[in-house]
Amino acid sequence: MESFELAFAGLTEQEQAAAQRGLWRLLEKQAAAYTQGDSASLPVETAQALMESIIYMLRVYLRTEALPDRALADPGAEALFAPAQKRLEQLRAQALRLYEEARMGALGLDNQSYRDTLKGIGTFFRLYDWRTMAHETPGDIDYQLCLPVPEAETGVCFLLEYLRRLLIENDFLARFDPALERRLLNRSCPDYRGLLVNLYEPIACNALGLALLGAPCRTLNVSPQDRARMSTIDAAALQRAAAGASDQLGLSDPAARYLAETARALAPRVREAEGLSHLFLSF
Amino acid sequence: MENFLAFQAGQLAAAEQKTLACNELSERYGLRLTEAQAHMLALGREKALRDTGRVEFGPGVLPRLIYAFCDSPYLTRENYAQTLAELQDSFYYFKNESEERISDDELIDLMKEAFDGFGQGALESIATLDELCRAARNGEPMRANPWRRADEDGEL
Repeated sequence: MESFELAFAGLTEQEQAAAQRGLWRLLEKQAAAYTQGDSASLPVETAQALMESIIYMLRVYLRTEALPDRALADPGAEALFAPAQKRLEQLRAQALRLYEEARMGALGLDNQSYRDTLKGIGTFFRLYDWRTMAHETPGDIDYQLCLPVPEAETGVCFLLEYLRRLLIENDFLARFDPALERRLLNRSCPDYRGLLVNLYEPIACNALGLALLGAPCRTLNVSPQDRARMSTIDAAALQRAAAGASDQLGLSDPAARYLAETARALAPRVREAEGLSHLFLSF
Repeated sequence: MENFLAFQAGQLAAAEQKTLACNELSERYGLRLTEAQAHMLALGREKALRDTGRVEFGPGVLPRLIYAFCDSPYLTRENYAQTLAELQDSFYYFKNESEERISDDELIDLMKEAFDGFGQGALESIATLDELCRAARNGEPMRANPWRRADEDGEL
């Protein structure tokens, strides 16, 4: 089984055989659950999807419990499956709480993609079949994060990480005057309300630029004179700027780490940019 | 796909045993499968599943087909094994055609009704289930007996 062998490559041949036997027995049970006992046979594609879901659940469980892959052989996939399902149910509940937090938290800025994505996440919860198709990610989640969730992440784990990052970005944005943010965003992209743009990134960029100069981040405006004062901006300087901005804004982890990572991602753009006026904006 | 085919192949012996166990019931109607016929049917199942791109768990649909059809007046010792083979092939075909919207039990009932009813033992009668499968795919309500014609009073 290609997906299984790739997923658990560290097992011995004996362990793989034992794990696979357990997985087949699980697949039979999941197939019965999926068809509600109405069908003893399935299209191969459906069976493959059910197997992917089983493997996904077990992988999530092994990861969250810090268990080695050989636990699939001993105590075995079947023994792990019920707790794995329970764990997935818990993660789904956790994601739902974060979603409620995102919905209730008023973002003082308007963006169509952001609003549509909040609706799309609602669709995820309506359509997500955590019992038999746990690896799928239904719903349209299109709002671009500054630091996207790795593509390898799917299902409820993707959504959890997406919401964590979204809340970090929202919390950061909430620390600035919305009127100043709107002016900066207009400068960054006049149609920021209608386009698929990330709102955090231009704000964070200017905050980092001001912190680089030891200036107050909350003003958000990087004037041409400010840019003229910027000397060599390398990765180390941007990391110092991130730390400075975090201090000013009262950020702690994970928000501080997120800003530091944003600064790290900014470094190559600064290096390759012809001039800084498109990165550190004036308004 | 290959892993699933290997899985199916591994079930061959178990499927044969389950099929032979059905002789206990079918013998009451003068019908019995030999080991060679059970083997032929198990191989036929494997091929039918491969051809229709399906995977099946447990003993398969054959024991249920045997239980449903063994009391048919149109089955004889001579045509028993071959008829079961064709019913088995048709079953997996119609499961695909219906896009899983008809349950196993419903499909077996419909096949039996066609075979014993207007079909009078002709396997070609099973082909009429294509219409039912099309209706199921389109989400149309299935009439219990689509091949029944209304009588003079317009009653089915």
